[in-house]
Amino acid sequence: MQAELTIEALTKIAKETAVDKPRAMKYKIGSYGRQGDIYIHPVSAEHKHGEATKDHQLAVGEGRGSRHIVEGDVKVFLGTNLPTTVNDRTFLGPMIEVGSKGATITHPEHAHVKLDAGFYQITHQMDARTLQRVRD
Amino acid sequence: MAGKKEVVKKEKIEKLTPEQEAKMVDYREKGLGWGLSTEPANRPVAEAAIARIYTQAKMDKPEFYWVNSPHEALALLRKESGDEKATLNMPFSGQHEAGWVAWWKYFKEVLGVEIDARAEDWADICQSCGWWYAYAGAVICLERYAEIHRDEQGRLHREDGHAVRYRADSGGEFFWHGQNVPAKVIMAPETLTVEEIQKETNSEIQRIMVERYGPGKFMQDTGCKLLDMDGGLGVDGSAPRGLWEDNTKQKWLVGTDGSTARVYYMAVPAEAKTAKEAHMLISGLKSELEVQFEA
Repeated sequence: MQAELTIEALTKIAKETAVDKPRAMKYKIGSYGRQGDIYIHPVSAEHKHGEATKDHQLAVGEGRGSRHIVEGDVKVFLGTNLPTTVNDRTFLGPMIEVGSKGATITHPEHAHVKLDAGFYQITHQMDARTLQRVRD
Repeated sequence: MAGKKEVVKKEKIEKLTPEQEAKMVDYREKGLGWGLSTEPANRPVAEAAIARIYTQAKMDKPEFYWVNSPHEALALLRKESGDEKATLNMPFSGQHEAGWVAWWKYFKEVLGVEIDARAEDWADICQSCGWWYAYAGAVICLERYAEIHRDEQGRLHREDGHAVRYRADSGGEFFWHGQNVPAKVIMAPETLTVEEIQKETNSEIQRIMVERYGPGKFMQDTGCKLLDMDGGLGVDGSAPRGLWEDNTKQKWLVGTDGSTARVYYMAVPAEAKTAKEAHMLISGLKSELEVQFEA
């Protein structure tokens, strides 16, 4: 019974506290933001990255379409280097450069994230059972 | 590609009239109508347009094969090619090009923007059939679906059957609020077992399985014990998180996404002793950093 009651309580609190409005990501190195299973880390302009890609889906999961898509004044590059704030077992995503007009990361299940101009490295959450990144 | 074309300079459109703006809604509705149509395919129109595209590409006129689903397309390809491991080419989207076709048709038909005449072939296909797979000498065309069911947000969803049903009793696909799920999640959730749910590695499918099974019952039936609970990270949408251990000694971080109040069950490493530690381990964060938001 304890488990059921605790989960019921957690779900109730979650419903009361959920905020389905866009989140603002400031370009502040040393902080991070999370949208579902991706983490967005502001990094310096010198942060190394690979070549530009036309794919604006930041986490290619089994579901295709509108998941973690970045749109706006933005360039997307293949990621080559983790940010210094995570350990070396972290799963690497793309690196994005946002221009002065800003950009937005959308996902059908999560609040949108509005990014200030700057440079951001994406990383993924790990699934401890498979030791792979989480796919949603 | 066609030869060089003379570019005619036209005046830039700076502002739409109220009538032009209102027409956008009409074209959105037209596009949705094409994309969601469940009428039988108009095969002569589709075949003629695809044949014109082959001619433009200087390829021989293809032979057409019609099927009801991508599964039938794959079976046909393997049978015809004699290769049991053959995989389908990326398809052209047929009626699901609707967003693009409605977009340029608005500019052409309402604003008078000149659009290459060849685009009309793609509009014909969009309004007459489903996906199509192009090969040298052959095209596999899909019929339109027999049924499409969606939720209030327009995502594929049905609680008691196929959200997408193919024609001629050729089966269908099961969706739960936009997520493609195994049949039993929709049709027989009461037969889901704890083991199946624990083995599922797609976090969205697993979340839906737990939702269908009953979250409290799931934690109860897996013998979960609460090891730690905290108040979340104190930003917008943050809610309490709990660290649990089930009867297989697998530890789970149970929390929400902060924006929709869905409850997620995240498998975390055994060394996690608190909810905070568990999150650090699956996120890879080296130390406690300032978190701007959770969503």
